[in-house]
Amino acid sequence: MTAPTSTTGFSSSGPAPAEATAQGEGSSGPPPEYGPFYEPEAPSDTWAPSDPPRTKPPLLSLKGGAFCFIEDAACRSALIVSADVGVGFNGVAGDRGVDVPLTQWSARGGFTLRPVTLLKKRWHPWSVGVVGGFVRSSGAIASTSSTVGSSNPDLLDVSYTNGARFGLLNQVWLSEKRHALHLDFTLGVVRSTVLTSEERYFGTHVDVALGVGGWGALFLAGDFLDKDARIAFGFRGHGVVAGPVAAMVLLGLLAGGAL
Amino acid sequence: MSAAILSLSLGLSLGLSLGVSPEPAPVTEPPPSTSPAPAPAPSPEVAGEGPAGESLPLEPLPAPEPPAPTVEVEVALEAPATAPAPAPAAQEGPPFYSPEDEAALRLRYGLDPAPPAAARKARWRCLVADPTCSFNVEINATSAYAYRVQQGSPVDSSSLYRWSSARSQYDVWINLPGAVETHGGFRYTRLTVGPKGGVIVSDSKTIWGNVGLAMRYWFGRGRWAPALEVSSALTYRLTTADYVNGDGQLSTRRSPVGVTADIGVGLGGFGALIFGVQYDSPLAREDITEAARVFPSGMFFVGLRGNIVWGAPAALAIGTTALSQQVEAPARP
Repeated sequence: MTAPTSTTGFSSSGPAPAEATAQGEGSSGPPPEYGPFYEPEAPSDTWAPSDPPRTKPPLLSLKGGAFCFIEDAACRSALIVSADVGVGFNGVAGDRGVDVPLTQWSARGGFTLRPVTLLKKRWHPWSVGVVGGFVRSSGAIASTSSTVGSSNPDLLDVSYTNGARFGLLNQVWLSEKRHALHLDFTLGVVRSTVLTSEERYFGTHVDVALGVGGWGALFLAGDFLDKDARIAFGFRGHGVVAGPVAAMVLLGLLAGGAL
Repeated sequence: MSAAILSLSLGLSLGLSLGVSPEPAPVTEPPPSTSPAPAPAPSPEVAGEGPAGESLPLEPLPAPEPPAPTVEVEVALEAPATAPAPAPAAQEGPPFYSPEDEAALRLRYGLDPAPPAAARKARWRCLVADPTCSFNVEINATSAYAYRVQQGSPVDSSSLYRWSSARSQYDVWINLPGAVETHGGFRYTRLTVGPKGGVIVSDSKTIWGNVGLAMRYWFGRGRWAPALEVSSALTYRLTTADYVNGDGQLSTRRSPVGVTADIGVGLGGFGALIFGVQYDSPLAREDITEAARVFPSGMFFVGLRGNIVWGAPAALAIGTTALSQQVEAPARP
């Protein structure tokens, strides 16, 4: 039995409820399973009057979800453009500095696609892609030499730390519904200065996020370099919404003479 | 088929009534016709007469048969005579309830007997929050008067500074339906809750990031329905004016996690009057440099928060951001 397709992309691995009922009338076997995960909403559900029809393609998508500018459950490939702000912890290993709070903002872009969905012609929760971005973090408070035994160590307050990230993104979409929740796992590299050094080094970048469609996500990100670990938690917004926010802030600061 | 069943029932009945085994076929010779035969019709052997009218040696008849087999025979015989009951109409598919059933259910559960067939739709495709939207994403801009306080400074840690300032806030709200109500086949959102994040701007080029939760409770279903809005978030400083290593230019800044919360009353997702507070945690450890220290501070604020789609909140917030940079703070942030 081949899975039916829908106008919003590909349907689930099993038939839709109405189709399953029709198929089940002529067969002696049990009806296909129907559950809350990986399934669209039941046809008997009530409906919010202003919500788009179930069969409508994702917002800002091409060819019924073949490519989406805003990620959604029914997309077969999607663009990633986002910006975020976060707060966390800057840990300095060894005797080169002190642990201090960390704040950061970053922007990233990338591309994702659904391999199983594209190959099997049916909906699948897995999405994979690549992302890259820029991050500016508050700097470390560190010394150029060991602080052990020093009653008044010569600590430097680094103004900020820039980093470039590149990683492999794996997503698990928890539902077929529009604006579905999804878990994101990114593993990659970061190239950044470390402590007081001006040289750039490679480190490990890890990011775990819980997203709501393509609109935004709560994330926990970490950059792990030699004796310098940065972990941050924050909110990430799609460029469609983060862009206007950044524009308004910059416009206000510019008008006020702060830039 | 029915004739065979009839014959078998008749045979069983008569066999039992004669007190003989039902095996002998001659005793229960089935009639060739399929038409129902009268129950008392005896076989020739039972009648005791041969085809030539000669009497046959018959055994004495036993006692009358028990009533149960007789009833069985009557039922079996009468059944074909009655008209067959009409077969139930096959159900084509759901719904399996008739309108009368639905009316009874509505009466039982106190539902509207005449559910609406159509409902109002939100403007701008739910870019402005509306009770008819189950999910929406909005960009809210806040313009507020802020009464700021700060304890301590690098030269005097015991002093308390207070000054009037302004606060502008730009947030992205992702509103998920937390509680809904149904009216007919339509579902209206009563309460939304979801993550939100953005930035806060005040004087001295101070920009905070914030991440938290936002909640909105609708008191109605109309486009201008009043709503109670509550939000809270973790705050953290991203930038501030650098008066230590420079002459006040915008610079990146670290800070511990603070908190902000506000409550407001709005109309239809277009705008709300809000009141809130913010507290910035200190970073005053002795093992960090003097320039890196952050003093405890906070603010009370009251203002207007609204969706930027209809323009006015965005313009007000941009203006507030610009004006806030003209405020001279009495203490280094």
